[in-house]
Amino acid sequence: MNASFEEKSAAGTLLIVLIAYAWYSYTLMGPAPIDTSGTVGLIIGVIVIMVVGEIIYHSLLAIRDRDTASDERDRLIAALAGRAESVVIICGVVTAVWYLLLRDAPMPVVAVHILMFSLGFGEVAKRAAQLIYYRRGV
Amino acid sequence: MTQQALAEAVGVTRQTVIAIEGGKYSPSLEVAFRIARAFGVPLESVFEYEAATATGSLR
Repeated sequence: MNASFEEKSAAGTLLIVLIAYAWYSYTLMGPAPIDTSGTVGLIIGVIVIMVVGEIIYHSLLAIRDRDTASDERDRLIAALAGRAESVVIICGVVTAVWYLLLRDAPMPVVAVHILMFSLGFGEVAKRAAQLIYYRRGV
Repeated sequence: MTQQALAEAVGVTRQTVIAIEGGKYSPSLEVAFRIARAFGVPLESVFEYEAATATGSLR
């Protein structure tokens, strides 16, 4: 694949986020779901998976590719993809606020999970949009 | 001139040169002028404007 560093970076980040949120979803809704007190640990866990994954992946990528430079095309694509991310996150925030206000918040921790999922889906939308723009053109 | 040499002369990545050649990316005016300068020819000798698709592409 004739891909730039930024394109490979987007692909790797997409994979890492999907893995992190697959673990998050499974832990939250799997056969042994966690209770409210485990939410903080769950959030810290997903952040650690993403940070460690990003460090390892980008270190290996930088060693392999060496040329990590970006240019105006990379910046334009990142900006365009950022719109998709913004839309998803805004939808998540509105949903969380709606849940807290209109339903009288029977379980406020649900709003936290809605926000966490919106951040995850937002990142997925951004990276997927980047890959589409790189392949389709802008 | 290779794509890599042109990319280095212009200050973009090789993938961006490939995208411009393939009509998948319209460069900024600054990059377009740098490409023309790298070839030592006027801008209109390197790029043509296609009104139907509204994109510039390398000749």
